[in-house]
Amino acid sequence: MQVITSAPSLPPTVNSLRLVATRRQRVSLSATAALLAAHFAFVISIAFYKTELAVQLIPGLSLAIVLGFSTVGFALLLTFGFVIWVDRVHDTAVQGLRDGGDYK
Amino acid sequence: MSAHLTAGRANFASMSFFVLFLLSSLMITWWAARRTKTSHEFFTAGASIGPLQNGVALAGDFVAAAGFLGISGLVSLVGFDGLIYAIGGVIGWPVMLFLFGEPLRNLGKYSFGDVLAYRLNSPRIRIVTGITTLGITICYLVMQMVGAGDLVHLLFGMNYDVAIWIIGGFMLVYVLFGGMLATTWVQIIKAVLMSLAAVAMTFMALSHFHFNPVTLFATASASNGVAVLSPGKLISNPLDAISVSLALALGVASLPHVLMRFFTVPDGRAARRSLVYATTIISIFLMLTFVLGFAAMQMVGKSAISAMDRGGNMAIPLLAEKLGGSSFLGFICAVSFATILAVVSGLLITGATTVSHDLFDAVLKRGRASQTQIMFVARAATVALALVAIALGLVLRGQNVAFLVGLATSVAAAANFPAIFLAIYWKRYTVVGAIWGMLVGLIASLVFIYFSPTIQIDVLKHATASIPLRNPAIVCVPLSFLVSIVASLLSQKRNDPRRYEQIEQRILLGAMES
Repeated sequence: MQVITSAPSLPPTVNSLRLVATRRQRVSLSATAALLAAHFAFVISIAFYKTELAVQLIPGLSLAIVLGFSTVGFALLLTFGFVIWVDRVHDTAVQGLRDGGDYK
Repeated sequence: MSAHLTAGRANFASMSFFVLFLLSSLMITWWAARRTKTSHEFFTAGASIGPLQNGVALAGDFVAAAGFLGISGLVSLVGFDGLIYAIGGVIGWPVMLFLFGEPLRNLGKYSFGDVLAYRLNSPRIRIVTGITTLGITICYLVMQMVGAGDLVHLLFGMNYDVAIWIIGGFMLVYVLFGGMLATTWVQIIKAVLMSLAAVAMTFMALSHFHFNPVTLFATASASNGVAVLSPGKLISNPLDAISVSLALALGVASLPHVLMRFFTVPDGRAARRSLVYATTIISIFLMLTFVLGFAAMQMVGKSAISAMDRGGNMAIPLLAEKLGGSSFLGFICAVSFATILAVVSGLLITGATTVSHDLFDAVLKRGRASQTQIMFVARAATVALALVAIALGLVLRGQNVAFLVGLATSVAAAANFPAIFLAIYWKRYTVVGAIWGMLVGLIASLVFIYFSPTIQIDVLKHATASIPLRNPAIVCVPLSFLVSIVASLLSQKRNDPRRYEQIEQRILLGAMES
């Protein structure tokens, strides 16, 4: 699927906007893919490795519980990582576009 | 064991908290009604909700009775397997943040129908978004009403029909007079109360286990068998498990009543922040329900829990009584009731917005309806939808309506998700692709659910089902994407490439700057 196409004939401000949009899309799609991959890995491991996941690392704490909480932890980590990137990098670039400057 | 427990009967504490909540919610509605004059205020609270407030309301929309009572109840009976549902519920929220939150807020006004209509430059698409929105909303409303009637009967011993009328009556008052502002604040108050209840209960429960959840898990496994710590029978068909997970992850991110909350905040940045708050609250809350489920398993006992309700919904009220006596039980019961009221109100205003804004104003009147007409239709739709929900709640008493959850999430994942995703991220998406993709996603979901074990075996009591999948998302989502893409590519003559450049600019800079 072609997400964004280049258009060399467009004026610089449109090109700048497109570069910012492309970068934001790549980060959004990559974060989503990473999250879904982690989640489906968890679900598939439950379906196919029940015996292995039943192993208790310490009394009361099975590998399955550790993996489950790790999946949620990873989701939160991605969430905070994404929003920090958007706040610090993406928003600065968007502000540059608003001010009429070029993408940096 | 249940003989000396008072859960299931109204007590002074539960009735006091219950009346206190209802009175507070009516005061909020009175306050909100004075600030709700225009359709903008009615549909989106005038976009005046702050990011933290909206994040709490979003979390409240999702962490309803099913999350608080249902997941912890499932954990209390089967152990680890309940965590699979809890995690499935969490995943949709970051997906929504990464893909939809900010772009939707910057493209739309009141509903996700706005987003598609603006992106595809076609008001016709609102007819399809209206059908999926009303379908999902009514499915959820009916499911909540039937579940609520049973739950309130269990919690307070109240007559089922009376419970349905009380819930229907109060949701009607909130939405009819207070619009989105009242609905949001009722949701916020309920979410705060529910979170406080979960934290307090976890603290009290863990105090019996040296404040160490692992000690609790170890004690519970010693009493109930080590199997409670590992995957059990919940996932027997891996394909089905992946399908349910897909439906949860993509469906949650595309539920109309959740998407509508993006339009109650001032801008895209606020929408993004609200999703971060919502994701954090939901993640912590669902992990607490897992701990509480084990606490109920150990402190109340599986047999006592299943004796009151086979699904485990009474685990939390029974644990509350064990930990804090009848007063705390009363508080938990009142919070559970508040949860139901808040969620059905959110669903009702979503349905009313779709009828009034998308179907009446944008399609029927071609955007030329007056404020008076829009508000009249919005309020008439509110009354009509409330009556439909009450009537179906009464008629379907005792019926197995669990399939409605799968149907609603499947339709959201297969019809709404591909449409919103392609509208934001694909330049060649056309209105023809959108209409065909959404209709195929909707119809395929209906057909697959009908022939699935959920209807054929659980509802119709047949011995087998012709389709083995309980949730069809694994088939319907790719099918909807495929049809959308093929139909779009075949209708490129109707695509204006310059349109997407405007969309791109608006996604980044918002409506004011474009």
